[in-house]
Amino acid sequence: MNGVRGAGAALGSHRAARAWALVRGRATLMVGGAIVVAIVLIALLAPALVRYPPTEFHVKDRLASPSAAYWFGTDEFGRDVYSRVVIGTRLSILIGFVAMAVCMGAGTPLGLLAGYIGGWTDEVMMRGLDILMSFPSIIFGMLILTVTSPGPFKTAIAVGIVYAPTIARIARSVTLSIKEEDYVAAARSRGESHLYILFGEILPNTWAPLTVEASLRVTFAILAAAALSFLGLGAQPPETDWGLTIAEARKFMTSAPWIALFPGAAMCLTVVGLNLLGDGLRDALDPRLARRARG
Amino acid sequence: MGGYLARRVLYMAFTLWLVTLIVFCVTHLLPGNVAVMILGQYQNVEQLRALEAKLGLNDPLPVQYWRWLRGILHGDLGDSVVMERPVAPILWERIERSAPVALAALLVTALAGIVLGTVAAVHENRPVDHVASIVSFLGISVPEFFWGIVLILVVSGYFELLPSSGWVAPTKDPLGWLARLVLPVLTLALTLVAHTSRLTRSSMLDVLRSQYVRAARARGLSERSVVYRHALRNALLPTVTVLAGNFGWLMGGLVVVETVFAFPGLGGLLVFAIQQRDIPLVEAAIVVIAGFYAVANLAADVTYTYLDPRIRYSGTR
Amino acid sequence: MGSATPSIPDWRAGRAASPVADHPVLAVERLTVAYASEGGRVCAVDDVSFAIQRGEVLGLVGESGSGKSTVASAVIGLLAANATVEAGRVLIEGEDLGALSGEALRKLRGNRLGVVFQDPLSSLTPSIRVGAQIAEVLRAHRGLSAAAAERRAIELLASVEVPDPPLRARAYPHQLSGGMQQRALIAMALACDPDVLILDEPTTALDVTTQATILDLVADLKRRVRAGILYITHDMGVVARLCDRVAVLYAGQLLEEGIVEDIFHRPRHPYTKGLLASIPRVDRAQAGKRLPAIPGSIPRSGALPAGCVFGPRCPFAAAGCAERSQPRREPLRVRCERAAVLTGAPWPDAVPEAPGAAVDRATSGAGPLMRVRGLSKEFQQSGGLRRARRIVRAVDGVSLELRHGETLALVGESGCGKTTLGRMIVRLIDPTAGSVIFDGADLAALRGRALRRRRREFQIVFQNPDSSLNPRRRVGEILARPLIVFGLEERRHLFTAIGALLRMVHLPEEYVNRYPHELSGGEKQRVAIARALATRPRMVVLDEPVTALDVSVRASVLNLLVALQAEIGLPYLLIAHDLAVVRQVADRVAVMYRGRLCEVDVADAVFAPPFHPYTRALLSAIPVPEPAAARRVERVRLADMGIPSAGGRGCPFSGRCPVRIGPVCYEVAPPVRDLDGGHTIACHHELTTLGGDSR
Repeated sequence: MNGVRGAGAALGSHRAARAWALVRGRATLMVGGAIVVAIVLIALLAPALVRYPPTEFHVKDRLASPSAAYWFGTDEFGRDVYSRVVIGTRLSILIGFVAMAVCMGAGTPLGLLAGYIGGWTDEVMMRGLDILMSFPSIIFGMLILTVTSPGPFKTAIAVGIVYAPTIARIARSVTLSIKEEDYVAAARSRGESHLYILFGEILPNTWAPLTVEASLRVTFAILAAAALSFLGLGAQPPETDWGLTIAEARKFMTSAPWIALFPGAAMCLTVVGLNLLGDGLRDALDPRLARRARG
Repeated sequence: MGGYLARRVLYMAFTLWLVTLIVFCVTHLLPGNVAVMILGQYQNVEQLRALEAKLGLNDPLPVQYWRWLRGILHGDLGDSVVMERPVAPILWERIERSAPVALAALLVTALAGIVLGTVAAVHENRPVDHVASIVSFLGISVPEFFWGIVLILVVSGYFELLPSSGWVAPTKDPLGWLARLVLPVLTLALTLVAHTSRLTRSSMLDVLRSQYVRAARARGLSERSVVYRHALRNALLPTVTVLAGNFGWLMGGLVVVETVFAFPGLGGLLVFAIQQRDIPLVEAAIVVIAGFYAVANLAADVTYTYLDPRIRYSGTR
Repeated sequence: MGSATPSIPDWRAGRAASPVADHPVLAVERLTVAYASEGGRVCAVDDVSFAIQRGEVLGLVGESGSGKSTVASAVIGLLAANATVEAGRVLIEGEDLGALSGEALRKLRGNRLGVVFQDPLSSLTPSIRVGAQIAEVLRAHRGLSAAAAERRAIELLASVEVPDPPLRARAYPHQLSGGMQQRALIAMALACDPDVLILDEPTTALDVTTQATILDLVADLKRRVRAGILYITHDMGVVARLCDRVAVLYAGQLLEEGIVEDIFHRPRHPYTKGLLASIPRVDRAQAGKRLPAIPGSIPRSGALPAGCVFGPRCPFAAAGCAERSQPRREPLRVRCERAAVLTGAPWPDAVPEAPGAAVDRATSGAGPLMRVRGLSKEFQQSGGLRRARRIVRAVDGVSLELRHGETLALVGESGCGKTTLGRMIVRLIDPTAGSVIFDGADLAALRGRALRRRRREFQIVFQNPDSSLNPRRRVGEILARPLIVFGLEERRHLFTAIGALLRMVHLPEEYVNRYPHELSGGEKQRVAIARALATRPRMVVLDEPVTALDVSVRASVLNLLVALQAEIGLPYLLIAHDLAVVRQVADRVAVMYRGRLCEVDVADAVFAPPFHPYTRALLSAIPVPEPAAARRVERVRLADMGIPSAGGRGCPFSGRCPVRIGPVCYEVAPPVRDLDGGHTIACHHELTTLGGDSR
């Protein structure tokens, strides 16, 4: 064996690179999943996790910095920030999930149908969705929430409607590519009904790419809902969610930054977890066959 | 190519028309009497009737719509109920203030996003890429209003480098004007740069793995030539589309950021109008914003044809 | 064409190949390349050695998984990131490539080493004009100025016979035809007068007639260029046409190497024998439809058999073959320890058919099973704002018959409409006009429930085995579905029925629970055939059933189809572009060009004069897997694109026809001349004129 070095790097660093890629893929999924699960648990168990009732005023201790008594400090009315953050988890997560559900629930069937039926129906649907997408999302949300009184559920639904076209486009393009596969043609040559072809042949093959794309877009929806909350169009006092808490805390940014920082950190953590989960899912579900070496 | 562009322009006009229709329908057909919304709950019947007559609310809807649309086409965007002045000049004034912010943010996004994404892709899996990945990951995970608040806290509060709010006319105090632009632009750009660089990176990676790049390398072309002449132009196609979409997000982001920084721009106007239930102002502002967005999309289409000769010559890929 | 830059050797100046010293220009010594994949180390190339002299063409033959592309990548120095050269070296003019720095290697590529890849469109950067891409190579390696490089690029395009080079140089890649794109790539590879030229399956993505012109070009280059040429392919016909020496790869190992006459007439390794025996021939009349086949399938790279890699499929295998890995035996240059013993032993013949079965079918007395009359399909191309919508006639008034128990082959190149026609017959596409009379009913006119009920009588097998089975369903479910849909079996009998289907296609019953990705290409295709047969159809359309399969697997799948037809008397409509396959298994043949029929006849007669001009060109374009014959043939040369016949009523072939009479060919539809026995030719020429040389 003379002259072993060729164009590729030495085998040692290859083993390391490959191992790292595998671990990194799984780690992303696991960490992301862990974070999301933890936050959902906190939301579910919130009443049990608070230390003080979130609406209780402790006027003596107002604007207190974090301490043993008040883990995250208190706000201008003396309310325990930690408890408010924990309780806020419920609404924030709920809004996020409802937005996601509306988004996927409205967008997926529309996209599937548009992709499958094709022709004029597809054209019309896509033009319609294009129109919807020509509104900046937050602004459309604001518009809807202006004319109906604002509230957390309405925010969620508004955001869901705004992002549904994006999901519909993705579902449509996935459907279009699967529609061309020969096994779909084989089903047609058996005279299968449209319903069977859509649900029996096409849909099972759309889960993977759709989940991957959707999990990445859903975080946009959640951030948009948070922004609307921040603008006062989400949860209304005395209910609380993170966006609202941050909005209320703006006045005290320099004097008592913890009031805004902790809910903000909680929000970031949630979105980071969701993004990690989405990335991890993509790494796991992507055709690994494509990356496998071809002999 | 002329045909392709003409088609896009017509389409844009059609879209805008539908936008006006939707805005009108949403404000007039959703539950809630417009006059009630304006006057609030504590009104008496005469005031209500007077306002309804003044606003022409007793006419059938299509007539109202046509009146409003005709006004728009003539540049008359109606009158603000709250300020009792024509809307158009108010809007224009605010647009002049917000435009530099939006354009600067877009420029910074385009440059920084494309550069960072390309660098990350070219140095894939090396430390530079990992750092860039982490930074961009944080960028997309943190809501922009939170960034803004943190920036205020750190830059204005702690280091006291820049003012945290307000606006001064550039003619009166150029430096002050510039200083007040920095933080809002930065806040907007942070999230957008993260998105754009991620997308550019992944698109660039795809292109770098493509067969024609491999063939170019097999011809012994320098890596620089391969990346910048062969790969980049084709990798930018999805980025261009996303930049146009970013413009739309930017409009929404303006609303949030101007609230955080108390910047009296278009976004602040919209929030004010909504809080005050000033329907004509809301309608006009939204239509104008949608108009800008549509123009941005058209610009993206033009750039697209420049980048991809397949569209230029045959109208389709 | 005096060169303005005398520093570039002008290989067009007709120099003879320089006298060959015993000094190979490319030498690969004991090369071993492995990939690091998720399943562990996968060896793609195992101890491969060969050498090429100047002016010589070495054919590297192999199927999928043979490692031929990896060898090419290793020579260029562009292996994937997870691949390593574990052993051996590559020498260009004695220089070890492994010892060169990355920068030195880069300077070598495109300069002393030219490469042409398989798919021309994806090898060209879509956003840069073709001429500019060629000029770029010249500027990078030869330091030419922009103007000089551009001029030289046009000269190069002319030298590879691209018509109107200045126009083509200004074009973008997608505006050129496949043949022209490949010529441009060849010009690019030759731009700096390389020492070594590598062609990696350059014609696989092209039509037969286009392929022939490119092969002619390469043969011509061989005479004029100083380089040693490495030609990678899986097509033995091309090898016979072009190569001086041949190296046979299988599962990463070099099994045999020799001069081309020896390889074809005196193959030594059982794999080579099997490969040559199992390839259908277009120049020989069939004696029975079955081919000698190589059993089994190619082992996956990560799961090679112990001992000899070919052992499990080898009919000559002895006890020792599975134990010991086979080293290379000098001086025979074969990796088989039994090669000397097996000298002269032929590959076992195919099982002969029952005599008389083939003959009777073609002239069966009963009327045809299916009669197609004037079938047409038009597609509209939307022109956007331009009102003129171009109508494309994919199929234009085709009429033919399918008789009981026969195989009718529909032949043509890409774009001729054969696939569209096949899909119209099974009503996957709705015809624009015409009728398909099947057993009394017009299939083209059926709708709704009536159509659904009749669907079980005609089924289709698709070309691509990877796409024809739903990846989320197990084999058992895939086979059960047609039985359920047509109510052919009760639930409790399903399992037995599926078992019977699997046995019919020679697959083990355990496959019921497997997913498609666990099967090889040939096995997937067998499942697709079983699925088509599940409804007990009265006719099956086979859309290029073996084109996507490896060469060594094609024969066994073809044999299966032939056997099934013999057993159940099932007629086939076989759509194919490979005339050799057609000659092997078809009873009657219909040749299509641009949506219309050129010629229809009994199989053997189509391959003998009189010919339709297109059939003649097609036949002369196919490289025969036999060296002397392949090089002797006088080719009918066709222009790459020709003038399109403007969709008029004239003959669709008139734009490219070498024996075109005149305006009548463009304007008037050619009469369908009927010889006896149902032989038809659509041409303005008289039949006596059309008798050309037979093969």
